[in-house]
Amino acid sequence: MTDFIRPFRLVSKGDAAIAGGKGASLGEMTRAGFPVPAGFVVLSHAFDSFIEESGRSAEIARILSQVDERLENADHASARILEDLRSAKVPAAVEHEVRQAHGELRAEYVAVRSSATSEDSLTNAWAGQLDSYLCTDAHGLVESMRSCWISLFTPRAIFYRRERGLGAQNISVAVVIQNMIDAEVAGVAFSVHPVTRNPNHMIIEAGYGLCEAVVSGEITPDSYIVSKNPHRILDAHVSEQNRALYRAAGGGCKWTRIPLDRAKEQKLKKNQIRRLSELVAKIEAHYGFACDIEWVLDGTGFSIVQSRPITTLNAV
Amino acid sequence: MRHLAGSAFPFSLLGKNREWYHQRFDAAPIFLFTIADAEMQRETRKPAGAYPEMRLCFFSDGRADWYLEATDLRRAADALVDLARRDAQIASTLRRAWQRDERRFEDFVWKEFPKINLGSLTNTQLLRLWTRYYRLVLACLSSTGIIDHFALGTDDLIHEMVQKELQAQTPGKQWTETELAEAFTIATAPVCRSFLNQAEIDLLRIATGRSKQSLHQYQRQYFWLRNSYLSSRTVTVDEFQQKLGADDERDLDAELLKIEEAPKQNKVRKEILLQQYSFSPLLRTLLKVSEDFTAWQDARKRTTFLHAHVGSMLLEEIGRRSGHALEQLKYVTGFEVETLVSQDRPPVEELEARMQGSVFLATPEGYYVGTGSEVEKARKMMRGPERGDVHDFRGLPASLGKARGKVAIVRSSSEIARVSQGDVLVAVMTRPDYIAGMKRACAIVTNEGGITSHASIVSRELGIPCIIGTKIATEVLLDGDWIEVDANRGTVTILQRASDRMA
Repeated sequence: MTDFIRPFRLVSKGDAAIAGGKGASLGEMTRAGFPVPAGFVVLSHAFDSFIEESGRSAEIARILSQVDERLENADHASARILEDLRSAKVPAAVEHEVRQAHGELRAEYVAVRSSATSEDSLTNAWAGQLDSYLCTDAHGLVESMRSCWISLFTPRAIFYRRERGLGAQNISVAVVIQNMIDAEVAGVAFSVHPVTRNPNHMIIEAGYGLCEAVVSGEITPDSYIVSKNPHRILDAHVSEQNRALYRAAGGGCKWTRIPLDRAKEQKLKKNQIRRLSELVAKIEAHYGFACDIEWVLDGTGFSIVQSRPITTLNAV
Repeated sequence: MRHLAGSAFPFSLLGKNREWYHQRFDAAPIFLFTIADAEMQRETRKPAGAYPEMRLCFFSDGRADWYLEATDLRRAADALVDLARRDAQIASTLRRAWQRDERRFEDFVWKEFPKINLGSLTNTQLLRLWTRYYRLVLACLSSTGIIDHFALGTDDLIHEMVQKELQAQTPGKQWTETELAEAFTIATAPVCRSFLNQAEIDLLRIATGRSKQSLHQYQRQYFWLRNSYLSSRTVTVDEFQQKLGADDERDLDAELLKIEEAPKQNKVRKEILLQQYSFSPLLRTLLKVSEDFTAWQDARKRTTFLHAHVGSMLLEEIGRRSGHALEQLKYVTGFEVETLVSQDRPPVEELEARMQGSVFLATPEGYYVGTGSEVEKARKMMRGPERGDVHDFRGLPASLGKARGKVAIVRSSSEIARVSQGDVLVAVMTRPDYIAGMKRACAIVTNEGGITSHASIVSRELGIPCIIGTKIATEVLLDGDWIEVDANRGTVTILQRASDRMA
């Protein structure tokens, strides 16, 4: 019996408080039978115990409560907290469990991602604010997890916490560790088009390589509009993609040039768009609300690496 | 072409008020700058006036910005139009002058090179082979200037002549813009198959059982199709196979027919147009030149693709012996290869600097290479007039609305303080740590990204207009420009330049 980690199949959507939003949704989708790459969640009390054992808990709370809205001060606070945490050790019991679970994954490379447990998690508050480490090998595993934890105290995360009025409130962070898929094509799907807000239209954006290039906006992806009922591809807009993010030979990621004729090709074929859009519609139906979904495609087919609610559909 | 090393980069040559014609490629110097080298070759078969005085090219991150100077272009185009006035056969005369060199190059690639065992050559033999090969390439590609100058420099002239002559012959008829544009398209549409089309046809013929060629034979003929000015990559039999089998809904017969028929149909439509209206002899000649040069341009593209293949193999072997990586060798020019190996010139630090970002300038006297701060300085000189030309540009609306504000360009998170309340944040893309600046912005404009990217999501959450994927926003806009972002239509309009306001 383990205290700090839990495989996806034992996590569900009600577990956001201990598994974070991302972890909870990956568990929920695994249980519902969606294709999610295997993995586990390092629960938030692993982080809590890390902070506890560092002996800096009170000091951190004090610094955070003094942060005002100006980013300069967030910088300052961040520097002081990270200084304190730099020498803090990952609790031995946590490390042991993580290594064991990682061994059972039998994955050469994993993605290590932060999964915040703030009460705010139904909005995108923490979207991209905390760190993630792709293509991590066994060697970098524990350090990546630790980096995810302390990314809760980067200047931007502190600024954001303040913006959201979360101040020194006890926010914790879980960490998702998941089989790394070497995506050929990857991207994001919104089960409801976020600009037109037509509930019958979904949008799929797709680019070569890892999903992060689409998420960050570093490349301009293809975009496909699909109507759910009747199920039909309404529009496919192809973007030239001259470079793509791939896993580097020794771990980590690297940008690679795409030859021009391939750059101009449509990233997903018609039948692939159809298959993916069916999957997106099923996920939306499962949750009962519009979803923002990150997907990847490799030789084995489509996998889902994240799903969260779309937060902006009701805005005026 | 001689490397004028030691001389300072001649910024004065670039001038302040020159106009430039800009193209962008995936490219490295060894494959693209070869063309500049070839264009500067003095030879009797080139018509007087068709030489360029300069070619300028920036390299960074596998991408090249290639600049033709406008007076070069006009002078050369005028010279060719003059020739065409006197000699209706000018296109075929010119093309013939290069035929022998084109054949020698192809012979080398297909007959001689495959038989050479590079590993068994001595270093001297290998370098000699490179030099001989490089001269073959130059002799072949030295027609490039003529083709490009004609294509770019006479486009407007032909367009204008077609319209004027059509209108003159049909008094009383009101031509709409669409009809005139259509006539111009028909008059200049390609009537020959490009090599890419031919390859596609050959593949489809195999797939539909119309050809006895095996896929392996096909691969040996077309393995180089995905090369570029940047690199060579051998397309495998599997990949060709995949290209055929990827989609069960494809109607291969229909595709084949379509590709085969397109140039024929263009030709028929063009002939009808030419019979229907009696165009002037000069216009007819120019249309013929344009037709022949389009095919010639395609042949040249084929040469550069093959050059990437043979060149890469030769350089790889040379690098294996000299201790240079192929990627480093791509940042030398053709005639530097020998001094690189024999005298370590340019030194490896220089190569590394060029890989970081470089500017190559070719002139009839020789060429210059600038690195480091010289690159940004030269780039700034290019931007002046080009920027002035743009008044508005488009992108994809990612968050609706309309706003006006001052441009604040953000290149990294250390620059977010530059965004004041009510500014328009302009960036290649946004990052999570731009959030403080995004909150102060009245609108966001990016070069890259999709509807689901970070900039898009955050703008929707903030409820401010956002236009993404403009490709050029950070290049066209300057800090302080006053602009309107209309995300209901996807347009960015420059209302007032910062420089105008201060004047």
